[in-house]
Amino acid sequence: MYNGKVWALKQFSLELGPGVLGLVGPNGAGKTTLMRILATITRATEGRVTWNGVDTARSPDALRAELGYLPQNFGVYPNLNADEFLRYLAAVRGLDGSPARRRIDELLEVVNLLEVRKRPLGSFSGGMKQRIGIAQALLNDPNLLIVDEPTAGLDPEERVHFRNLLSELAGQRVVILSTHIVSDVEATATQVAVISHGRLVTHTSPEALLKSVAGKVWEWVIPSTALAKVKESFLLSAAIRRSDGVHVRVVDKESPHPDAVPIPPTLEDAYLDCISAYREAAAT
Amino acid sequence: MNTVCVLYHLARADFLERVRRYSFLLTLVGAVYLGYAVIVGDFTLSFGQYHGVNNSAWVGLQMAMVTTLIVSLAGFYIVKNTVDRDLQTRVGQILAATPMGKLDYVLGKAVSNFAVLGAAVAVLAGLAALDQFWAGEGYPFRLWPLLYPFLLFALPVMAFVAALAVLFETIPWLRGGIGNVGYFLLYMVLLAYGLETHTAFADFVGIGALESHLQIWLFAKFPGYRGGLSLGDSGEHPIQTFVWEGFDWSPELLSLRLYWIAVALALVLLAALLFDRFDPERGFFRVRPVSAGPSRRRLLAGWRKPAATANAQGNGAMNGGAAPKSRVHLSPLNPAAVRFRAAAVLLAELQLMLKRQRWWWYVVAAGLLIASLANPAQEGRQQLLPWVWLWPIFLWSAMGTREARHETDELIFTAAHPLRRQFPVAWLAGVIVAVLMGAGVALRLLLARDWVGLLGFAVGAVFIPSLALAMGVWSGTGKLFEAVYIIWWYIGPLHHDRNLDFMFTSSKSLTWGVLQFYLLAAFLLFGIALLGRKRQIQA
Repeated sequence: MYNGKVWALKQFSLELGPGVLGLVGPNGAGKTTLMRILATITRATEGRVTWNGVDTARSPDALRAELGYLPQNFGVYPNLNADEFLRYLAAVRGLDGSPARRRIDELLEVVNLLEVRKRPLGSFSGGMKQRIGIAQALLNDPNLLIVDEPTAGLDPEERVHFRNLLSELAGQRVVILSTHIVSDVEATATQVAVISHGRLVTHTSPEALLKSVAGKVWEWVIPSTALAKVKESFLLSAAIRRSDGVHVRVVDKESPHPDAVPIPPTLEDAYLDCISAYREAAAT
Repeated sequence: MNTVCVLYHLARADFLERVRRYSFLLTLVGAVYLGYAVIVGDFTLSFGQYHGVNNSAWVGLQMAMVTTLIVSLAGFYIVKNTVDRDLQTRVGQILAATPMGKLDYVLGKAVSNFAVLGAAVAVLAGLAALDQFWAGEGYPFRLWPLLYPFLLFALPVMAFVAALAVLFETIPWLRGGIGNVGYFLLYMVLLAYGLETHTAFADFVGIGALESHLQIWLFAKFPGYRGGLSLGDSGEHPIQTFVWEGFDWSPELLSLRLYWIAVALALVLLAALLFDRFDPERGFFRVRPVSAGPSRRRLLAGWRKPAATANAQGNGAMNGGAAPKSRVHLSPLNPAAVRFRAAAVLLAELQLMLKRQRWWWYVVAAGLLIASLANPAQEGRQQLLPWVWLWPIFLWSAMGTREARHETDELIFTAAHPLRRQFPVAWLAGVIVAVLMGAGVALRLLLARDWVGLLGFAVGAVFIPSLALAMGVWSGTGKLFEAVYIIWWYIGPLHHDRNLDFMFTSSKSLTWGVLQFYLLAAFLLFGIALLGRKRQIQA
C-alpha cells in the first residue's frame, strides 16, 4: 500500500516453478511493485513472499544470494568502463578473482559488448547500457531472475538475442519477465500472468490463454473513414493500412461483419480479451 | 502564452515541488531555531557597550541582521539544486523542447529560489515580533519599523543569493562541490572585505552600511561612544541601552541596497547567457565528454550488422520466423566460487572514489603528501593537515549518495547482505583515503613518537568519513556534507577552535575529553548512517 491509501497489489497469490513467467498488464497495474517486492527492494504492507519456504521479508539475504535483478530504471557509474563496473558488482555479489573474470568475459560476449569493455559507461548509448544491465543481472548465475522491461531500448536484433538467452536460461531456474511487449512474452514465456488494478486476472500457460480466444478473432477490410466507428464498437486488436483499405483485426465472440473471417489468435489478442473481460466484470 | 505567464508557472511549479519536500520543512525548522537563538540572546546586536531597547525597530533590525548573515550563507546551499533537479529528473529535456526562452527559465528559477528564501525570512520576521513580546519592553508594537530592516537588508541579499545560486548551476564546473566550496570562500571574502572597508560594492549583507549609519547616530547621542558592531552572545559586559526608533528614509541607504537587486538581475542575465539549455554541447562552458576512445567509430561499425540484416532477423523472429541463436552459452557458475571477499569490494570502492579524479587532482595530492613529509610533525599537523584533509572533500561527499545519484541502488541493494558487506567497506574506503592523504603527517608524528598526536590523527581519519556517510545517506546529496564540512573546517581546524577542531591540529584540542567526544561521534555517525542505509534498503 502506498501512502496508506492506495493498494498497488491486493489479493494477489502466485506460485512459481522453473520457467519463464511473462507478467503483463496495463500501465499502473502493479507490475513494477510486484517485481520490487519480489526483488526485496520494497517490503509488502501485508502478505508474504517465500523463496524455497523462506520468508523473503524476514530473511531477504537468502533470496538475494540467488537473485539476479534488472530494474526498469537503473543507472551506471559513468567514469567506470564496462569491465570495471561489472567487476565492482561481481565483488558486491561475492564473486571475485578468476571465476569473476571468466564470468564477465562470457557475459560481455553474450550481450555483445566485448569490444567496448574498456570504454567509459558514460559514452554508452541507451541500448548498450541496457545490455550492461542484463549482464549484471546474470553475474551470479541466479536461480531467480527478475527482469523489468528488459528489451526497452534494444534494437530488433538485440531483442531477439535477449529473448533466446532468456529461453536458454529458463531451464532449471525461475525467470520473471515484466513487459508491455506481448510479443516478447509470446516468444519466451512458459507461463503468463495478467494483472490489472493490482489483482491477478489470470495465471495460465500461453497455450491456454490462446485457446480461450480461439475462434474469437476476426479480420476484414474497411475504408479508413469507417475506422473510428469500428474502434468504438469493437475490441480492436490491430488496424493496418494497405492499398485496398484498412485491415482491421477485432476480438469478438461473434462475427462482427459479414465480410469478417476468423483468423488464428495471437497472445496480444488473448491479452486484450482478458483485460477487457476483467474490466467489464469489475464495472458490473 | 506571454513571458510573465510562463515565468509565473515555472516559478510556481518549482516552488511547489520544493515546499512539498521534507527538506523544506527542515529549512523552516532551521529558521525557527535561528529565531529562537536570537530571542534567547545567543545573537545580540550591540555597538561597543551599547545596545538598543527591544522595541519593534530594534528587534526587527537585530533579527534582520542575523537573517541576512546566516540565511545568505545556508540559504545558498538550500536553493542551489533547482537546475540540477531538472537535469536529474530529466524534466529539463522536456522544457528544452518547448519554446521557453533561456532568460524565462533562469529568471523563473531565480524567482523560485527567492520565494524559498523569502519564506525563511518571513518566518524570522514573525519571530522578531515574538522577540519583542518576549523581551517585554519597547512597547507599543509597530509593524513597519519591525519589517523595514528585513526589506532593506534581508530581501536584497536573498535576491542576490537566489540569482547567484542559479548562476552557479548554469556553469557546469560550479554546479557541484567546487561551487559549494567556492561560495563559502566568496561569502567569507565579501563579508570580510565589506566589513573592513565599508565598500558598498562588496558589502552585500549591508553590515558596513548599517555600522556607518548607526555609528554616526551613536556619536551624536553618546559623545563617549567607542567600539564597533558586534553580533553574538551578549556576554557579561555591562550594556548601556538606548532607544532607536528605526531608519530614516535615506536615498543613499536605499540605493546601496537596491544596488544588490540590480546585481541579482545582472547575475540572472549572465546565467541566461551561460545556460546550456540542457545540452552540454551548446553551453558557453562545454563539458568535456567522457572519452569514447579513438576507435569508437570503428567499433560501432564493427559490431553492428547491416541494418537490413538486423531488421530481417529481428522481424523474422518476431513474426515467428527462425530466430538467430544466442551468441554463446553461459557456463554454469560453480557455487563455491561465490564467496564474499571484503578486499575485492574495498578495491572496487576505492576505484570508484578515485577513478573520476583528473590528473591535476593527483598532482596536488602528491604535493601535499610530499610537503607534509618534508615538514616537522608539529608544523605538519598544525599548518598542513587542514589542507591535506580539505583536498579529498569531494571524494567523501560522494559517500552514501553515489548509489542514489547514479541510480545503481537497486543493483547494489539486491546483493546479499548489503548492510553487512558493501556498506562498512564503503566507509573503510573513506577512512583509507583520509589515512593515505595524511600519511605524511602520520609518518612524521610516528617518527616524533607523538602518540597522542597520532591518536588524534586516527580519530580525525575515522570521524570525517563517518560524518560524510551519515550526511550523504540521510540527505541523499553530497551538498550538506560539503557545506557543513567547509564551515566547520574554517572555524575548527583552520582557526584551531579547541572544541571544533576535529582534525586535532593544535595541542589544545588534544585532550582526552575532545578525543573521546569525536571518537564517540564517529561511531554514532556511522550508526546513524547504517540506520539510514537500512531504511533505504527496506523502503
